Amino acid sequence: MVDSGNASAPKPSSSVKLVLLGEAAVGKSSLVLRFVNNAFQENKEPTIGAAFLTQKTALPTRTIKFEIWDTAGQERFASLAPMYYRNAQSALVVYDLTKPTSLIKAKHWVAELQRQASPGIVIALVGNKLDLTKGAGGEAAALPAEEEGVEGEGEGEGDGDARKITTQEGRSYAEEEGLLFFETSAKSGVNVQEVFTAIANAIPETQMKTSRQGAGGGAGGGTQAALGSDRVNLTGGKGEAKEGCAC
Amino acid sequence: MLIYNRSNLLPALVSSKVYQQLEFLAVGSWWIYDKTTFKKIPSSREDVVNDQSIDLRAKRNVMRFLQLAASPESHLAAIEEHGSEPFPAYLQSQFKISEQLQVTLLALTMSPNLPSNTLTSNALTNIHRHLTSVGLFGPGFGAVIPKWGGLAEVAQVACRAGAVGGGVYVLGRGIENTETTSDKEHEHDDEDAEPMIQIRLTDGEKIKSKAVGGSSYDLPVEQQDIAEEVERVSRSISIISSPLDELFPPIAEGAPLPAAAVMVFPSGSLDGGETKEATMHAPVHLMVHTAESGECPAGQCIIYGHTATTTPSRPSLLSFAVSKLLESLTVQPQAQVIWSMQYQQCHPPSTTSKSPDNVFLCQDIFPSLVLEDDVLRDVRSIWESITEKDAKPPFMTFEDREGMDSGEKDDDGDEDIS
Ligand SMILES: Nc1nc2c(ncn2[C@@H]2O[C@H](COP(=O)(O)OP(=O)(O)OP(=O)(O)O)[C@@H](O)[C@H]2O)c(=O)[nH]1
Ligand SMILES: [Mg+2]
Repeated sequence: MVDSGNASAPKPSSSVKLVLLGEAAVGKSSLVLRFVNNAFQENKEPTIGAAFLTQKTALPTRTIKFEIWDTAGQERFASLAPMYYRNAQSALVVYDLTKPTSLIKAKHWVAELQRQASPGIVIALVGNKLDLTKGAGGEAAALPAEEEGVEGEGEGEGDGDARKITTQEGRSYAEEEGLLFFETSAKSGVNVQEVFTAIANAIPETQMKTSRQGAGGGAGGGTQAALGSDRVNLTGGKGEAKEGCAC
Repeated sequence: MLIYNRSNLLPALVSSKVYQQLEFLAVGSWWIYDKTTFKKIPSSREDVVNDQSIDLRAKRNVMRFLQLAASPESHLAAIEEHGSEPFPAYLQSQFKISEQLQVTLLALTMSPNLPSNTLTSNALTNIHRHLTSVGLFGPGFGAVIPKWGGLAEVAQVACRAGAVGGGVYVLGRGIENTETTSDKEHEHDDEDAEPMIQIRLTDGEKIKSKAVGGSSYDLPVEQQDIAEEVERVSRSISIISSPLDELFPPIAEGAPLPAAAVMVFPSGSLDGGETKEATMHAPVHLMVHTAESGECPAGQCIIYGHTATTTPSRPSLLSFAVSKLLESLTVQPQAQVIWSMQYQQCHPPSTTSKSPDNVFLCQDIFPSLVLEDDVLRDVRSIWESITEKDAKPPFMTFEDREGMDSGEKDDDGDEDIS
């Protein structure tokens, strides 16, 4: 295994566990697919159990590797969720802007996370399917919801506006609970990258599991140096116990 | 529970790819209690050679024993010949190893039993495992613990992998009974039809399956009258106000930081060296985990106590051991127990009860300190019975899933999924 601790020092890279939660069919898997493969599937099949994906994101000073658990929203899988949000450093709670019940469900997830997940977990509330709302399709909808644009405000019943949850409603709830907030479209790609970048930025560096290249100042070299100082690498060993190491 | 590096679980975690979701930390030093203090057990032959407290002749004898125990052939030959002897007697007769050094070697066996009940077969097997585990995954350490709460984490990750693979989980419902239906009951009686097992869940739902597996807690097995034969261990968990850094000296150059220490109180040592076996307490083991284990807050540590319950039972033995450990340390002010609990675990004797075809019963795991290979061996034999008729996929070998890591075309090939 080649160790990258050489002259052209790479940016430090850390991994972040992220879990997606939300009602069935709100577009969790679609958001991940957009983020990881920059693709969209019109008729995505429901997730069974859960799916696991990883994706790297480059920040100015470091690289973040997301380890993403995309859970199944169908009710019959709900009891599995704690398995996935355990030890997660971040969560993306997704609702569908065109479906009021999905926001109620999202609030339940937020409450459960606040009660049971790791303290300090970074939660982003995401209203998805922005492309189905008024003014979507064009660049107009690309306004990050974080900015003070009042895009899509109001209950305008204009052509093709399926929006049922106003930006204001989502945002004020997010503010109350201290969540990041975005409105996205997995279909058009609007705001998807932004959600993940915001999460990466919101996680304090100390919470990250850094692979400290070259840590420990020249100790040992080889595979150990590429690891965190305390993790054991199950695949990097010699595969043979060294003779001479007695009890 | 600690996992020796030689354990059959670790390669299975690698071949099944689930290791990518797990983190393992190194177990550092083994310490042995003597009178009022702890002595670090030498961790290499070099250390044995340099140990001033052992005289030269004794050293030679110990080295001779260690050589035998580390050798794949010789230790088996010795088991063949002396396996059923008590281990201390074997050390005395074959190596002239003094009682004091016997105690140290006994500590390496991790045996929960009194010395005379620790057979040479088990002791040699365990010491061989200990010796040959050192250095497998890095210099100087021979065992690991899973981060975030022990082996439960392995089960979690396996469940997640199963869910990702399309497994369906039904929580909060047990199996009420199972019944194998014979083909003849079916109208369309075709020759190849496999017998199906009808399973009634506790909520009345009925499902069918080709095979059923589980432990005696999961499956409706006939309960034998076992009350008397049950083995018991006492266990405790204590959270300590100090990280107890002095228990975690660096393992070796280039080794990961130690996250666990094994403290052994030999039989009788908590009674100032009681020597009558009839009244002696069994060995007491305290596993100390650092906060790095994810099991307690930073600045503290957590101690897992373990001892086989002897008669008469000594309910306070474990908390006494913890207090002796804290007294033996130099940390000032003396570390305090912030919180603790105690419980007993029962282990029914292994059943030989016959289960119906395609209903597979896993043996109950003895509540010991070390993950034993027979756990996975048992699972493997069930796996092989169930997959027999299929293409016999190799045990616990899975490919990375489609879509996994698909966003990593720029991957630099490092394996450091942490
Ligand atoms: N118009 C539009 N449709 C979307 C968007 N995101 C997802 N969809 C569609 O919504 C349906 C459900 O999407 P999924 O990504 O499978 O939803 P999910 O939340 O993963 O569902 P579960 O896995 O069952 O929990 C699919 O048909 C998607 O094509 C979006 O941003 N806009
Ligand atoms: Mg999905």
